[in-house]
Amino acid sequence: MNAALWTESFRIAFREMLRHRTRSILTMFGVIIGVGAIIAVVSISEGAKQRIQGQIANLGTNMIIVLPGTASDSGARGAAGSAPTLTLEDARAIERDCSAVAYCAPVARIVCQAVSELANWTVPVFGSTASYLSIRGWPVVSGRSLEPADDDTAAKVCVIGATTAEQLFGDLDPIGLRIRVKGTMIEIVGLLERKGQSPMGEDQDDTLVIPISTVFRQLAGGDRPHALVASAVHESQVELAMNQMRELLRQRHRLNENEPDDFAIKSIEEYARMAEATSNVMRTLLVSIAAISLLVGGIGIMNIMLVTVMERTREIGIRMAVGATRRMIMRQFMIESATLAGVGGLLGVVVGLLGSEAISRLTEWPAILSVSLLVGPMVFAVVIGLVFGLLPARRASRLSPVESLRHD
Amino acid sequence: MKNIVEIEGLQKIYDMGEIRVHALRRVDLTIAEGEFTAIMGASGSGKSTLLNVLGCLDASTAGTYRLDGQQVNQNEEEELARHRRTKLGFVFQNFNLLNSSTSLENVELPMVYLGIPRRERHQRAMAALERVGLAERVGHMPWQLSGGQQQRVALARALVTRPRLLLADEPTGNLDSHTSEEVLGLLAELHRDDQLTVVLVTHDPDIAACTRRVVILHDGRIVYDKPGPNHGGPPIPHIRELAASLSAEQVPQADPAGQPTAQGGPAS
Repeated sequence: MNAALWTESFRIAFREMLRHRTRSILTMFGVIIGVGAIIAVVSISEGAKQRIQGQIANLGTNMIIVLPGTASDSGARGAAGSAPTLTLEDARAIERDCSAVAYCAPVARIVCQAVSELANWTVPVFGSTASYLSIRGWPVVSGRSLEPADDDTAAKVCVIGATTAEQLFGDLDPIGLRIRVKGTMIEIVGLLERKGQSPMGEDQDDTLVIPISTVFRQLAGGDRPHALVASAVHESQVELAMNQMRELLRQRHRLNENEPDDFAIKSIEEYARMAEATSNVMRTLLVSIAAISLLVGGIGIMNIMLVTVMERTREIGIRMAVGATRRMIMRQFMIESATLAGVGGLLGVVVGLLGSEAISRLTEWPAILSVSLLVGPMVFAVVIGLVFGLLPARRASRLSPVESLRHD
Repeated sequence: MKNIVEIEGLQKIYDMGEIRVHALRRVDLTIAEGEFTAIMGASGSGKSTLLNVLGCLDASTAGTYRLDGQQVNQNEEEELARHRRTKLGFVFQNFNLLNSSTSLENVELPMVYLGIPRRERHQRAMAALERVGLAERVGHMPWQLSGGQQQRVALARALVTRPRLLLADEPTGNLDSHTSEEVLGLLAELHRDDQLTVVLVTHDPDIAACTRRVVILHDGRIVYDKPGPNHGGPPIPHIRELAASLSAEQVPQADPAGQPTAQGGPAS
C-alpha cells in the first residue's frame, strides 16, 4: 500500500470519528476506562510498593525476627507462633553469644487500656527491653530511654509514642506523669521520636514500650515472649546472624538433628518480599479486571464498525469501482477501528493520569508513573482495535462491488 | 485501429438456487478505440450485466474478455481492481459520489488508489473539474450541487485517470431533458476531442441516436448492431417491436437445466 493511501485512510478515519462524535465517544468508553484503570492501578500499586520498601528500609534492613515455632506435640501441628517455645533467656543468650548479632530483644505485645488524669486510650503495649529501641533505631526526644536495669528490676516505667501521648495528655509534656494500666501505675520516662506508619499501615507512634518483666509480672502474666527481634551487626552479616541464632536456639531447645526447628527465623527482607508478593497478587487481579474492560471495549468497537460497514456499503462500492482492491478496503477499515481504539487509549491515558492523581491525593499514597506504563496500555488498546476490527473490515472487503453500488 | 474491447462467447448465469438465470448467452462484441457505442435493451435484457463485466465489476461465467489488448482473468480480484484503476472510468445513473466529500475530493479519489501524491492529485482533479465546467464548484459537497453538476463531477472523476474505456450506465436517467443534453454533449465532446472510447447504456432511443453505434440486447443476446442514425445508420428500431418480432421468429429456448428462461434477470 502506498503512502498516499495510508494518509488518506487515516484522514478518513479521523473524519468519520469526528462526524459521529457521540457515537465515537460512547464506543471508546470501554477502552478509555480500561486503559485509565490499568494506569491508575499500576501507578498506585507501584507507589505503594515503593512506600513499603521505604518503610522497611526505615525499620532497618538488618532486622531479624524470630517467631516461636510450630508445636508438633503428639503429631498435631500448629502454625508458627502456636507454641510459646521462646524464652527470655533465649533472647539474652542470643545477644550474648552470637557474634554477628548486635542486639536481641524479646517482645510481648498486648493491647490494654491506659488511663491518664485527663483521658483513657486503648493502646498496643510492647513489653520488651532497652535493646528493642536500639534495634528499631528509635530514640527518645525527651526524657530517657529504657535501660537494662528497668528490665532487671521490673521497674514500673515506660516510654510513650507521640500519638499515645497526645491522646492521653494533649499538649502536656508527659515526662514524669503517670498512667494507670491494668491497675498498675506506670511512670512515663521518655517520649519516642515520631516514626509514622508501619509497612502494614499501623500508626507506630500509638504505642507504649514497657520492660517485658514488668508486663509479665504486672500486666499480663506468663513468661514467654511472643517473638524475638534482633539486629545483625551489619547488613552484610544478616545471613550469618540468622545461622548463628538458628544453631544456638536449636541447641538451647535440645533439638535432635532430624527434628524440625520449633521456631521460625525471618529477616525483614523476607517480610518485604512477602508483602511485595501480596501486593503483586492484588495488582494482577485489578489489572486483569481492567484488561477485561478493554476487551469489552474492543467488542464495542467491533459492533460499531459492523454498523459503519453497513451504513457505508455504497461508499465501499464506489471505492471499489474506482479501483480499490479488497485489501485496500480491508486496511482502511482496520485503520479506522485502530484509530478509534487508539484515540480511546489516548483519552484513557488522560483519565488514568487524573485518576491516579485523585486516588493518590485521597489515600496519600504516592502514584508512580513511567513512560512504559503510559505507552503500554495505549499500544494494547490499538492492538485490541486491530483484532476486533478484523471481522468488520473483512466483511467490508467481501462486499460485491455491483451490489454495493446499488445499495442505498 | 486497435480494439479496446474483444469479447467472445461471454456467458453470465446467475444461480439462484432453484432457477438459473441466463443474463448473457454467448455474447460476442468488439469495440474499437475511439468508438462511441450505445447499448440498449429492455429491462432484464442483460445490458447492465454486460456493462458490469466490461467494467470488471463482475465476472462472467464463461467466455473470454480482452481489454485494451490484455486478457482479463475474471476470477482475479486484484487484477480486476487494477483494470478498474488504470483502464476504466465509470459514470452511474445515481452519480455515486461520496456524500461526505467535496467535488475535488471525489475527483481525487481514483488517484488515491493509484498512489498519486497529494499535490499532483490536486492539480489533476482541478483540471478535470475545469474541463467539465465546474471550476467554481470544487469545494462544494454533492448535496449542494444540482443533478447535472453532480453528474459532471462524476464524469470528471471518471476521466481524471485518463481511462481507455469510459462506461456510462444510464448517465442521464436521473436528469431532466435539458441537463441530459448538457451531460450528453459533454460526453460527445470528450469522445471527439480526446478520442475517448465510450460505452453508454440507455433505454432512451433519442440518446442512443447521438452515438456512432447502437447495440441492442434482448434476452442475453445481441440482436442488433448498426451505426447510429445520426451517423449514417438506419433509424433505431422500437425495442418492444423488435422483441416481439424476434420472439415470433424463434421458439424460446430452454436452458440445459430444463428450466424456462427467466425473462427478467436480477440485473437490469
